Amino acid sequence: MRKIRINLTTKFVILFLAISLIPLLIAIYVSYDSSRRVLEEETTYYFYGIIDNKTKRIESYFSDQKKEIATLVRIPTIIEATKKFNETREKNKTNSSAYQKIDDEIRPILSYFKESSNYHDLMLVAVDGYVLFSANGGKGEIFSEEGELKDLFNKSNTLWETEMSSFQYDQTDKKMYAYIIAPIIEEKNLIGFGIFKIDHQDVYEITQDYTGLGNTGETLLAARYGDNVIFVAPLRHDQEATFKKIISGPDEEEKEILMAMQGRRGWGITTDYRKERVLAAWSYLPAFQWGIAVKMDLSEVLAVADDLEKRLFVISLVLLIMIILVTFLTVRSVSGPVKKLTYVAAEISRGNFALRADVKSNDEIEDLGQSFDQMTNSLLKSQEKLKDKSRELEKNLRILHEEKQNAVQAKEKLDAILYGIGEGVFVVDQEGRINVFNREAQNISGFGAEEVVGKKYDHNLKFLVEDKNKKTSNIFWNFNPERIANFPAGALLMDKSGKKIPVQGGSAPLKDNFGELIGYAVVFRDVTKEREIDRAKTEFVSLASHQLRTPLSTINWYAEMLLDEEIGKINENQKKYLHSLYEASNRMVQLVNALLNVSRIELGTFAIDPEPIDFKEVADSVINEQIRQIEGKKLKLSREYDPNLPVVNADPKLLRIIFQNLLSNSVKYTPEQGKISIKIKKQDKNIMISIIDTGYGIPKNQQMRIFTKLFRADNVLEKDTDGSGLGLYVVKSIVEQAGGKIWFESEENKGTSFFVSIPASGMQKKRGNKVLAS
Amino acid sequence: MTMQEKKVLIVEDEAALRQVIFDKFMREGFQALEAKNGEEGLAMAVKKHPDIILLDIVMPKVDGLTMLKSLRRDEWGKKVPVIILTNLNDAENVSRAIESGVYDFLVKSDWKLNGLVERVKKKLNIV
Repeated sequence: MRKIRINLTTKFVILFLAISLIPLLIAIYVSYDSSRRVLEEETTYYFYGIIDNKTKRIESYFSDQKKEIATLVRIPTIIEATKKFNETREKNKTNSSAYQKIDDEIRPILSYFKESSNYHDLMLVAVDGYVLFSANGGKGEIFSEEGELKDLFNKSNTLWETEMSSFQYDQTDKKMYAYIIAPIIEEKNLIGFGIFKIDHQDVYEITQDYTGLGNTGETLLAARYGDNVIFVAPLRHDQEATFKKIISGPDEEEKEILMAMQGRRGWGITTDYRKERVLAAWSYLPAFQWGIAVKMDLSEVLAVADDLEKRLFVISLVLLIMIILVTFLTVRSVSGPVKKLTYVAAEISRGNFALRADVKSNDEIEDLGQSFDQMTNSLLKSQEKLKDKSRELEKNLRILHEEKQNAVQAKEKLDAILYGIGEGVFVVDQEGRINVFNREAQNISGFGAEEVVGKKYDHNLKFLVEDKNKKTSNIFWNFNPERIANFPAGALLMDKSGKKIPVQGGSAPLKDNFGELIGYAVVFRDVTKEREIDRAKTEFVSLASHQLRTPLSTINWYAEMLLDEEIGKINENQKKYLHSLYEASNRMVQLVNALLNVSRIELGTFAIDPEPIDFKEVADSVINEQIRQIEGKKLKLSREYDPNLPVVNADPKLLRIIFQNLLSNSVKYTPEQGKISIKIKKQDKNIMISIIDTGYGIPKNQQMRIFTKLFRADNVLEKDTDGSGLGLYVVKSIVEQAGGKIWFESEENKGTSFFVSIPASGMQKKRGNKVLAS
Repeated sequence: MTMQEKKVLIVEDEAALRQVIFDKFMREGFQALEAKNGEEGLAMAVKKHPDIILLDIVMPKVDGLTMLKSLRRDEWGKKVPVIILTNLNDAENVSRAIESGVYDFLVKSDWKLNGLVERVKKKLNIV
C-alpha cells in the first residue's frame, strides 16, 4: 500500500487551520445561536403584543356591535312594534291581518336597519322565545329550543343584558354567524328581545392588518368545527382558505393554532400550512372560542441573525485566507530552506558537487545548511580521493590485464611450443595424473590426449625394460623431486597396438615460484633409429677397438719380449729405441681406451656398478701404477687419509679412472721436485678426494674450458704433447653421472687443486652395457 | 708337477699374437698348444686336455664364446680353467663369459705378457 505523502506546507496549513478555525467556528456558532435566541424571544414578545392588540381590537369591535344593538332596541319604533306584536299575538292570531299589518308597517324600518348595519337577520322575539318578526321572513317559531343560544336567551331573559353568542359555522352559507340578543324594555317591563345575526367579516380587516409583520408574518384565527379546526379568517398566503382549510395535521404542523385552540398561550417554532418553518405565538379568545396565532417565517425572523451569519462567514473567510497565507509564509520560511537543502542533497547525490545549500534563514536551518555544505565539501574531497584511488586501481587493473594477456600469450606460446615440439612431452601432477600430453607423445604412443589426460600416467603408458632374454619388466618409475631422472638404457614404451618402441628420455621436477613441487614433466622420444645407429656405432667401435687393439697388443708384446731379452741380447741403444717404441704403443693403447670411454659416455651406455670399496686401496693402487713416473720426476708425494674413512659403495673401475686421470695430470704437469698430495676424508655426507700439486697451473682465462672435450691448456701444450684432452672430460662425466661433484682451484705457476666429492651414501647405480676402460 | 707337464692351449686367430704368446709360454717352460679358431681349439682341447685355455673371442668359423659353451658341455671341459683374452670388453661379452665359467677376462692391449703369465701361474698354483 502506498503511503500518502503530505508535504510540510499542507501539514502546517492543516494544523494552523485546525488551531484557529475550531474556536472561530465555535464563536460564530455561539454568537449566531445567542442572537437567534434573542431574536426569537424578542419576536415572541412582539408577537404577544400583536396578539393582545388584535384581541383587544376584536373584542372592542364586538362590544361596539353589542352597544350598537343595545342602543338600537331602545328606539321607540322597535319597542312599539314589539308591543303591538305581543298585543296582536294575544288578541288575534299571528296569521291575522292585524298582525300582518304591524309586520308591514315595521318591516321597511327594520329591513333598513338590517341593510345599513350589515346584519344577516333581525328578529323580534317574544319573551317566551316566539319569533314575532324576522327580517328574513321567518316567524312563528321558537327562537331556540336548546344549546348555547337557548342558554344565552335564558341568560338575557334573566339578566336583561345584551348577550352575544359564539360564532357558529353555517354549512349552507359557508359563513360564520353569531347572534346578539338584546332585551327590549318598555317602562321597566321586558317585552321581548331583539336578536341580530351577525358575521365577523369586519374582523378580517383586523387579521389582515399586517402592519409590523414583515413580508411573511400574519395573524391566524381559527375556530372549532365539529372535531376539527378551521381557519375563520383569510390566510395571507392562501386567501381562499377561509372556512375551507381543515387543520388536522401531524403534531408539528400548524401546532400554533392547535395549541391556541386548546386554550393555551405559548410560543414556539412550528411548521405552518405551507410547510414553512415559522416562529409563532398563540393564544385563545374564550369569548369567541377562537384561537389566535401570530406567526412569521423563521427565515424572516432570523434574517438579522442570518445576516450576521453571512457577515461572520465573510469574516471567517477573510480570516481563513489570512491564516492560510500567514501559515504558508511561515512554513515557507522553514520549508523553503529545507526544500532547497533537499534539492541540493538530491543534486549532490546525482553527482553535482558544485551546488551548495547556502541557506540564509538566520536560524537552526541555516546551521543545518552550513553543516550540510561542510559535509558536501568533505564529501567532495573524499570523492576526489576515491576518484584518484579508482584511477589508480584502473591503471593497476589495466597493467594486470596486460600482464595477464602477456601471461596468456606466453602460456599459449609455451603450449604451442610444448605441443609442437619434436619430443614426446607429458606433464603429470603430484599424484601422477597426466594433464598435458603433446602431439609427439600422441604420435609415439598412439594414444590420443583425451585417452590419457586426467588419468595416472601408467594407466595407459607402459614403459618397460627388456633384459637380454627378452623378459620385460615395468620401469620402476622413481620421480626424483630434486633432479632430472633419465630413463634406464634400453627403455621401451608399449604403444597402443602393443608394439614396443625404444624410447629415451627422463623426468624433470616442476616447481612453482615458491619452490613447491607441482608435478613432473616427462620428455621422451622414439629412439628406434638411434638404437639402430647406436648398435651400428657400438659394433663399429667394438670392431674398431678390436682392430686397433689387436695390432697394438702385437706390437706391445713383441716389444716386451725383445726388451726382456728373451729372444736374445740387445745393446743399450737398441734397448732405448725399443723402449720408446714400447712407450708410444702404450700411449696408443691409452688413447684408444680414452676414445672408447668417451664414446661410451656420450652414448650413455656405460654402466655404474657400485660395490663396497675402500677408497684408500684404490688410491694406493693407482699411485703404485704411476710410481715410476713420480719417482722419475723426483716428485714428493704425500698422502693424508682419514683414519675413519668408511667403506663406500662405488664402482671400482670408475673410481680408478678418476684417480688415474687426476694423478697422472698432476704428475705430468708438475715440474721435477714438485709436490703432490692426495687427501681422502669424510666431510659432511660426502667423501672428499683432493689431489693438490705445485704444478704449472691453469691459466685463468682457460679455467672455464678445462672440462671441455679435447681441450688442452696453452701452457702445457709445449711441455707435454702426450695429453689427449679427454681425461678431465671423462672424469667429470663419471663423477656427475655417479652423483658426485668435481671442481678445482688453480693459479698459474703455483699449482692446481682438484676436488672430487662422492656421496657417502655411494655412487648411483646405472645400468649400461659398456664398461669404461681404465 | 713340473712346468713341462702344464699344457696351455692358446686359441687365437691372429697369427702374430698367437706366435708371441706361444713363444712366451714355451720360454716359461709350459707345454704350449695352439689353435687358430674355435673349431680347432675345441678339437685340440678335447684331444689334448690342456690345463688351462687362453681364449680369444672374435674368431672366424667358431668364435670363442661358442667354443666355450661347447666345451662346458663336455665332462672334462666343465672343469678346465679358461682365461678370456680379448680386445672386446663390453659388458655383454664379459657377463656371458663369466656365466660360462671363465677364470679371468683380460683385455689384451692392457696387459703385458709377463702379467698374463703370472695370472696363469697363479691359477695353476705354480710359484
